[in-house]
Order: sequence, then C-alpha cells, then structure tokens
Amino acid sequence: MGVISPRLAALTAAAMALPGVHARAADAPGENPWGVDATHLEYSESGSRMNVRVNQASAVVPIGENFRLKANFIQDLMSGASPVFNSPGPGGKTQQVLTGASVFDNRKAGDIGASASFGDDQLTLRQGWSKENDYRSTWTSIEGRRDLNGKNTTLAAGFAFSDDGVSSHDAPDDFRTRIKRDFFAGITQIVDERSLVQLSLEYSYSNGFLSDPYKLVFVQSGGLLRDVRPGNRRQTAVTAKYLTYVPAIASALQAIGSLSSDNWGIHSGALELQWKKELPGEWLVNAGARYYTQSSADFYAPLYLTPPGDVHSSDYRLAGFGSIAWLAGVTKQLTPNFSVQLAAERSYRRAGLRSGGIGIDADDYAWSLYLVTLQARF
Amino acid sequence: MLVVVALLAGVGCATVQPWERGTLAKPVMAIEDPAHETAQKLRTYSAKEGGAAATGVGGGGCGCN
Repeated sequence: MGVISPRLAALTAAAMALPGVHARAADAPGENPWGVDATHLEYSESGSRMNVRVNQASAVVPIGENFRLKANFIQDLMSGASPVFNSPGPGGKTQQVLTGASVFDNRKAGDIGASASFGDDQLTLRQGWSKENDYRSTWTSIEGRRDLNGKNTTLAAGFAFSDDGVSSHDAPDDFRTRIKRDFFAGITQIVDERSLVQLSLEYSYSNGFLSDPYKLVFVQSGGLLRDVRPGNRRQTAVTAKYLTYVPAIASALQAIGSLSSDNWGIHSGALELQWKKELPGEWLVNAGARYYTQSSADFYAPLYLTPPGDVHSSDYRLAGFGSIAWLAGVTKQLTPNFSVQLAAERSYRRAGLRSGGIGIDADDYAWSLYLVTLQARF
Repeated sequence: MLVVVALLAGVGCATVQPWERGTLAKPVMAIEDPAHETAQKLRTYSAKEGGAAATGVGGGGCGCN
C-alpha cells in the first residue's frame, strides 16, 4: 500500500461530504459533531410598519456515527402596523389604509427531527409545531438523499404535510383549516474541480381557508368587503444554483435563479448574485444583490369600482411588483469550536418592477433584516 | 425540467476524484448556506412575496403580515 501524503489525506477527508452535505467552516470538528446554534434577528419596515424580533436556537446531538437528533425552537415578537385595504385618496390617487400601530403577536414554533445514514443514503424525518394568537400549524416532513457517482452527484426528494388553523382577533376561537402539501426533488452535481450546480423542483398544493382574515377590499359603490381567495392553490417552482471558484480573484461567485407559477395567475422570477471571499484570520465575507419580480393574481385589484366576483383581494403581496435588495454577511471563526456570523439584507419594493398585471406605487416600501448567529461544534 | 436533469446527469459523467476537490472543500464553496439564515430569509420572502422557490421541504406556516 502506498503512503498517502498528509495534504492529500486532508483534502480527501474534506471532500468526503461533497456535494450534498458539504461541511461549512464551523462544522470542522468532525463529520457528525454536536452542535448548538443561537440566532437573533431584527426585521423592520419603512413607514413605521411591522417590526419583528426573532430568537432561534437549535441543537444537534449525534448518536453513534450514523444517527443524529435535532431540536429547533423559534420565538417571534411582532408589532406595528399592517396594510388592510386601499381607498381613493386626494386627487384620485389610490392610498393605503393601515391598521393602528397596536398589532402585536407572539409566535412560538419548534420542531424535532431525526436523521439516519445508510452508506450513501440519508433519511430525515421532522415534526414541527407553530402557535400564535390567530394561527396554528402542525407539520411533518420526510426527506431522502442519495450520493451517486463517487459523491459527484447527490439526489434529494422530500414531502411535507402542513395542517394549519387560521382565526382572527374578531373570532379568536374560530380556527378555519388550511392544508398544504409540498413535493420536492433536487440534484446537486459537481461540474468540475471548482464548480457546483444544484437544480430543485417543488410543487405545492394548498386547500381550505386561504384568505387573509385581516385584509379588506374597498368597493366604490358599496363599502368594504372581506378578502376572499380561491379555495385551492397549486404552485410550481424551479430553482437553479451555480457556485464557482475564480482563482484570479481568490473568491467564489454564486448565482441563484428561481421561477414560479400558480393557478392564481402569479408568475414570479428571482435572481440573486453573491461574491464570497475568505480573508486571513479565519474571516469569510460575502456581498450580493437580489432582484425579484412577480405579476398580480388574476383576482387582484387595488380597489373595485363595482362589486367584484366571488374571489377578490387587494393584498399588496398579490399585486404586481418587483424588488431590488442588497445583502451582505461576515463570518468569523473564533476558535475551532466557535464561530459568529452577521448577515444583513435591505429590500426596496417597487410596483414599477412588476412583470405583469396590476400594481400601485402606494404599496411600495422597504424592509431590512439584521441577523446574528453564534455557532458551536464539538 | 426532465431535459435539464438529464443534462445535469450527463455532466455528472465527468467524475472529479476526491483528491481533486481541494477547491470545492473551501468554506466559500459550501453550496448550502447557514441553516438559520436561510430559514429566516425564506420565511421573510414567503411572507412578503406572492411567488415561490424550490427550497426543500420543512417548516410550518405562519400568519405573517
């Protein structure tokens, strides 16, 4: 048997996780380490709208070499004002009507999961719960992965089922059912010695109460009506991700493109570009931009001159619009076991960037999020 | 979609050996972003946009405004 050089051994070991379960820097202590992550997020919108604070903690416990358990807990604290409907404003210009600044909700969510590896196959089961004053969710997912072709290829497939209940402050105990099923398939492929590509396809089918109990529509000839959406929704989405290392700039470049379409008439596209670079002292920085565009739902209108049909909504999220965002992050490996990560994103919504249908400038706003995560691996 | 998958599978025939994956093992070449960051960003997009992305299964709904 020949002698393997330490460098070759190190590279081989580092490459063992490729491509589907590629280890990050903070995962370095072992292939199946103990792990604890804690995150705090601050989200805010322009115009004194919604503010959200999120605390998230998760732990991974390995059992032997082939099994691991994971637990995850999230708490959201939401406050601020939210758009309710649009109305005619001064000069005939449509304007947005918001709730008072008193909207407050406290969401608690958690999930537990178990993963098992059998040679080149991995199976993960997860069970989750989410609860807030006016929304409950119980979900289950199963996902399988298989490495092929000397770990040059990873196939993934999964299914998730979510059983939700929606109520409102007006009728807090009247929970109406919303069911969602997600089917997912993906492939990750090593293209060459410095490039990876990932292609994913997802189909979702939802039915039940899909309306928003807090949204209204304004009818010029008849006052306000409740938001009413179709009783089912079928969404199809495809996402492609390409990551390549460019030696000339000692950096990685990443592109993520998504297209989606649904039976409500919303067609969307997104493109995200990122630059990632390692710096001396175990620093990793990234910066990039994201472009998003969508067309409006078939039944959307900013306001209605005459009574609308059975389904109608003026929800700004179902309008035609686009957005431009910048994003940035930095990760510092503090010790072999601990790292800290900061991330930020700011997004500017513009009706003029829509890819079709109807959208109004009055719905435009900007949001920001800032996130800090502490990671420990043992 | 099937055509694209078939093309990707074809690309897969050009095998890159483990000892040729030094560049791919660099931290900047992690194809999966940090789990917490990814989850929070996807939930924000999901709450504020009408479109969808193929991002894998898992995660419950919320009554996000």
